[in-house]
Amino acid sequence: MAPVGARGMGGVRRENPAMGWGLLAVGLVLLLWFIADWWNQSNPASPGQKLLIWIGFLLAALGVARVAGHLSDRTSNPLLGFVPAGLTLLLALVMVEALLRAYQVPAGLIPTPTRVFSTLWDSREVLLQDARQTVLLEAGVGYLIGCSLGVLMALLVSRFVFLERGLLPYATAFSSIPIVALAPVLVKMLGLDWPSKAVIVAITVFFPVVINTFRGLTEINPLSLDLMRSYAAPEAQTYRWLRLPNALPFLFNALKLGTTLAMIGAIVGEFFGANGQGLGFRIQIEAGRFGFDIVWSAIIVASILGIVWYNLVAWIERRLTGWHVSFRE
Amino acid sequence: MRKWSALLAVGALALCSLASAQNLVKVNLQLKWFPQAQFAGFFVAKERGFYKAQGLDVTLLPAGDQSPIQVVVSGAADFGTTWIADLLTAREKGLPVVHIAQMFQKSGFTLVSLKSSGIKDLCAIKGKSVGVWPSGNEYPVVALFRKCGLTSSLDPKVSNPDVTAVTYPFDPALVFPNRVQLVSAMTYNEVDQIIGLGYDESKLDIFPLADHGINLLEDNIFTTEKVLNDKNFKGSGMSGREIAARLIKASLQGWDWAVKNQAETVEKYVLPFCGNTCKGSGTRSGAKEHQTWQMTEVAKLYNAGPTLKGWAGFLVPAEYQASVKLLRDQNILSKDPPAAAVDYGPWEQATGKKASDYK
Repeated sequence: MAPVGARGMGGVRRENPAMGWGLLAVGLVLLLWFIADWWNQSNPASPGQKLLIWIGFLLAALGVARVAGHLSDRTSNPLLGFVPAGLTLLLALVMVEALLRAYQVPAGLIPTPTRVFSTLWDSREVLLQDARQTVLLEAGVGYLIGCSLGVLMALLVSRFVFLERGLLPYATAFSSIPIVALAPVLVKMLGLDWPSKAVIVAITVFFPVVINTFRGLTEINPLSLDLMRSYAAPEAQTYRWLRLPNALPFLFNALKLGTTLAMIGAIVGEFFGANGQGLGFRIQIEAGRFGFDIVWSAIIVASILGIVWYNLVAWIERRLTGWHVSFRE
Repeated sequence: MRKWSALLAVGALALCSLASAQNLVKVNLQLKWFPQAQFAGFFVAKERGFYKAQGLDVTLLPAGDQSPIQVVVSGAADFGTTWIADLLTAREKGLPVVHIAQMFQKSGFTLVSLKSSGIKDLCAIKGKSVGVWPSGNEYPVVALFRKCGLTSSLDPKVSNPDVTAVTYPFDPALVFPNRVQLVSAMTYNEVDQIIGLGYDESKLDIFPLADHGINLLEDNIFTTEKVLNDKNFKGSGMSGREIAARLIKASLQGWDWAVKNQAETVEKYVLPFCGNTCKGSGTRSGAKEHQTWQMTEVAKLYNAGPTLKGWAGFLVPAEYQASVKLLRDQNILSKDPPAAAVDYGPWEQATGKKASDYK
């Protein structure tokens, strides 16, 4: 009897996933019906209607929970495995839409999701242009420069002890400073166009790359080093076959961290002056005008690009360091 | 024995502070910018005790680069000063802000260019860059662009704009004249800063936007419906409207005094309250010189229109309608603001006049 316990619950769910979908459908229909009914209203909903919204939400949430429990048992298909997360997002958006309409929250404070999506569509061209400047030029170029210089620096520091003693302490110190605080200074020094933000990004990503790569290059199993020595391998070969491969997982950690830092640096940098373009510029100017539909659209664009970029680096990492222990199945 | 007297003293002290706290109602007024002569009247009202005489303990909050509307709507301040354009656009976006008094009766907004840049006509600026301030201070320029039929990078739906709007942290020296051909400048502040950078008036073209039909009213006093409808403002026993009326009365007293005693105002009530933010630029960097200039210019904006008829602080309905019409014509507002966006009640109570009597 006893061992059945936990699985038994799962078994019940497996028997009728239709129940979950049914609950979800009823809940969503309730919410969507309210949204449609309240589409052109400008008064807050009555307490009864608000109660209805919460009931709808509760039903749909229970439905999602059931569906998720059912699906979690057979997650061989990654697309199917994403269904619960997708449903959760959908439900959250519908619920937010219903609540914002029920309480008539002004668009100048929180715009409804439908408003954000329609604005996103209307201003897609401008937002893509903004993204080109912010992501491609400022974050991208700055990231490439900062990372290349960081790796170069780490190689030099790991090779020459006097550099390690003279420079590394500063790199460690700088990597724990919020470099973004430098943004206003750098924008003032270097002007409003994109290079000033690229410099902010480069400096921001530089230090973590130096520190991590250095650790990867130097934290080496002494036995491996002894082996290289016993082969009489020259320094260059030790780097090629031992130190660099060993450093890759460390380096990629820094590179992944760097994608996030780069986006932050570029967007925040634009808050301190911009040439009429960029996601940060758009966010700042529209927040000041209470155009939060545009602000959210810009945030969505920035988030999607940030996720894509991060995953691109992660994908390269898997290609290059597939041998590493963390990827072994 | 000593213990008892000490206790007594503490008790008396507590009673005293309680009493004074009960007498004076704490009010936060959010200024539109850092302390400077632009707000001289408010500083005078505070330091010469006009607010205290009305039973108010007013704190003047300096602004950073965020909109005063945000601060007041969030409740961090009870009242604020801002311009008509960002007030009405915020109202249209659903924020319940209410205009209660108009301090400046004329727009001081200008665009400045070098004579050598050859800009003769403000509408013929296709392909040029214009320096603007964010946080709702860009509307006068937006109105100008739209009036001239120009698109700009401030419009999130135009991908190939005629004019590039460059944002920067308020100091014109950051962008002018290298990065932009035209730069936003208030008659009372940035114009003098630009002159200080070594471009004297003979080298500059100063285009007041009011001369181009963009006469959007600036510094006003506003609050929220929540404050106005409060029956018992912060437990003072007075209604929000009563507090608003008292604030307006004392502020107008302060402004009248400041405008009549400009030198003394700058010396005693402006300079001691502003640090670096009061300085000009370059050859005109002295705080005293710059604030004296500012006081003179600000006095011109205060002493205009209804103020000259003894109706200081009054929002002339025709002027208001003109501002609304301009904003609607240029599609900055999509509909007329509701009547509740302006409330003459507190001003009428403060001055004893009737808005409908204005001629």
